[in-house]
Amino acid sequence: MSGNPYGDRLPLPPVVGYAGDWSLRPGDELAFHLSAREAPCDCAASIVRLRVADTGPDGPPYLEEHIPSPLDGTHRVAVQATAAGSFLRIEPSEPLAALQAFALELFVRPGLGPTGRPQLLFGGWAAEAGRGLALILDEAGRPAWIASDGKGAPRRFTLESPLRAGCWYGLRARLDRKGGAVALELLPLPDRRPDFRRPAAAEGRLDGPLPALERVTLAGTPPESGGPTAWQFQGRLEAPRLWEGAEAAVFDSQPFAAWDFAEGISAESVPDLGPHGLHGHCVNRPKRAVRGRRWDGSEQDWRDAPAHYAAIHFHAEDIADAGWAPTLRWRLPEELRSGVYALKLEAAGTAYHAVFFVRPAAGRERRGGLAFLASTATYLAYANYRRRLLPGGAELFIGALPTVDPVDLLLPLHPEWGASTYDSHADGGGVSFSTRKRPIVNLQPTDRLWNFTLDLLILDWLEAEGLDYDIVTDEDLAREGPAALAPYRCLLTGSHPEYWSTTMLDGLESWLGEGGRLIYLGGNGFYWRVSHLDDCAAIEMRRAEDGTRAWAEEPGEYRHQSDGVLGGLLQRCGRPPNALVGIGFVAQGFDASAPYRRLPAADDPRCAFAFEGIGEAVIGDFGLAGGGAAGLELDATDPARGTPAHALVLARSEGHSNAYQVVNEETLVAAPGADGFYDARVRAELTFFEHPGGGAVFSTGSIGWAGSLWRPGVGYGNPVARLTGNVVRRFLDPTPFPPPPEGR
Amino acid sequence: MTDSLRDLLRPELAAEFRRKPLGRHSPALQGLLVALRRQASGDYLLVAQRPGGPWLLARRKPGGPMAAPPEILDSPPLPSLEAAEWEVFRRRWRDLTGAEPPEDAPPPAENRA
Repeated sequence: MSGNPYGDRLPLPPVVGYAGDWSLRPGDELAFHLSAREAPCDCAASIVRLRVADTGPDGPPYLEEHIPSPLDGTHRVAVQATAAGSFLRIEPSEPLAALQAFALELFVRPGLGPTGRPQLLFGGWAAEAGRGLALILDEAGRPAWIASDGKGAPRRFTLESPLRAGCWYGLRARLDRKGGAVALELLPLPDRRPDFRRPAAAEGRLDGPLPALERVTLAGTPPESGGPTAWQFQGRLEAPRLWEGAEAAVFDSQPFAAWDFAEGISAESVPDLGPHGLHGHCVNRPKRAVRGRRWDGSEQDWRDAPAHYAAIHFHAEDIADAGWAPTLRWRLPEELRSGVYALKLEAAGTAYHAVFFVRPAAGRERRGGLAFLASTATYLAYANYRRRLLPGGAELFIGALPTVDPVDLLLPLHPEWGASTYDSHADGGGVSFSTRKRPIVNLQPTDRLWNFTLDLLILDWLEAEGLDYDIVTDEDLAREGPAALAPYRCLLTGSHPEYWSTTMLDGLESWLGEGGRLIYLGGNGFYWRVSHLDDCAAIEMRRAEDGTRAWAEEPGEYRHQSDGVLGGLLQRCGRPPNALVGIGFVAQGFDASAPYRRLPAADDPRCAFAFEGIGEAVIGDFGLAGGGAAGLELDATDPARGTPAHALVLARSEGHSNAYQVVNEETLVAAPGADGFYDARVRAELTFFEHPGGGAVFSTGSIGWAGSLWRPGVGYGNPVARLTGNVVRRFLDPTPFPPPPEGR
Repeated sequence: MTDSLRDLLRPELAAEFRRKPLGRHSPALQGLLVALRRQASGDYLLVAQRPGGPWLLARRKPGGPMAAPPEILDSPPLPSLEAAEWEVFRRRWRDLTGAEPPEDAPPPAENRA
């Protein structure tokens, strides 16, 4: 499905693309991977620096700055196929193709019942030519051999026993290419659910010539001309083994090949323990470190018991790299200033932005200056967020009608672009990987006011204040650790820095220990743990155990496959945000925001700088994000979770709506009335504390804060902007922060 | 439609919602909104024609986790989120009662400032 079903009412971009890297420096070369969605298409390309997002009629006017480049002009963009859907590719081998008679054993846990189309388990099948030899689950979910030389209808031999979704089976299959004798044998494996699944077996014959095993794959087959995986198997496979010979007793002999999914779980490769070294390679990052047929609950960590985790879970929705060829290349000029940039693609009255971030040239950072940390890990976690388009209860937790942007409507038209870590797979599991090697529709300067667009508002405000800054991204912090921050005296986060690896946290804490000054200008930050992989092009995350979450990780599968760390809330990994920035996530709602009320601690001389020139008792009863500075997602102090004893709460929000709910990780026994109308825990707390490293931390505790840097009808001249500016300037001032008085 | 939901459809709550569709509501109005959103959802969705509106009213359709294209409803573009909230409230009220909701009933005594 593609095109545009909405016509002129909602023009949709005919050309999209992605930047080959997100974090660059002047002098670097950047490739852009572009594709027309339907048919080859002319589009006008230009490089722009994104200055301020389109925040609607109440906000600052949209601003982007054209950067002249050799890319300026019209380009013909071809359609590129997107390789989505995970499978296992076996290295081509002569011994495999030479097999005349063979037997196969593997363990299968289908994710879905009958899908109405074949799902390849093992074999060599050219989907477009309709040629090959394969063991499949057929349209009705039954095991079957299928063979075809590409002429005439494929021939099949089917076992009349459909597999049940979510249950493990052993499956044995034999085939003799000479004579066509075939056999299938299905053995249901017991689990704790009582059932009456029964073993089944059948023997028979496939007529006609049977092709050799070529281009062997498991769980799906890539179409010859590219594009999403054909005959995608959705579910888990384990321990495929192959024997030479098709007699019933062959299973007692040494196998010809034995692929061990318990080996090298963090890797993309799958070793063959057999004599021919027919190793496999995972394509599109299927999920590993998942429970296999032997998992019994006695083990929770795949590293301790790999045999319990000897399965791989394949999904149609998996994507590790769209695989588009580079269309345009650009060498960043040496004088290009640090900022947020995009390749802008204009066609058919629409604009699409392929975003990237530019740091200063190495050695030319603003020493002792200000850096803005672009939340690239969080942008990735939200990339291609589809859930908002699904029927369901979103209106209840939003407290208002869900909204989407026209570009979001590209997502249902392009399932092959993959989903966000807020979405689920067709068989119910959560999407635990996200890559930037694909078009990301919701990283646009025209997105609804959230995260990236609010972050652009922060940058525009810095420009208006005359506060010079460099951009650093999460990727840089993940790669370089504290060295990425070392040049800077003050670091400003974005509006919603939610996803962090512990490597990033280590870097930030180390920099704070050396005197760094941190301004956490957001809400629900430092919340979920991620691991970076693919040289930081992708993240892995598992929504383990607890937290406000779109899905819950499967029992026993809480550890990341890429590095074995425990996934989930950082507070449950010993890294509560309160210990880092004084506050942590307590409540959310999305209908309307509320103001803060100044507290007596605001008069403490330790933080008098913050309120200079601010006489108001109520701060932020305006703004672009719900009309208040405290809104969307809120954080507050909690000494039990690590808020420093000497932290000062300078202001607290009040008057939140009924839509705001205390988050479930703060709830032991659910009870009515845990909302903004009844429950005083629903609040954001503006917090300051000195850091023993010599610096300090200032936290706003609200995603909405950034939206109140701008006051509709007034602009950046307002108490929220003034207070934020006071803090940034003090944090840039090298004067040390004296330690708090004794007893604090 | 359940009788209990019909009992919640009081004119003064419609008027309260008309005055302030987003933000803090009286517990009675909140109760009505929860019931409407749970029991008469309609899977409404707003599609921004431009950032900040106007908005097109749409319905989300079932179609698996990768989402199905929403259906844009035959309704004039709505100039603001508040107008969109009222439009959906009206539709739900009308679907349940066959009549338009009142826009200006006096608030009950306990809700008066």
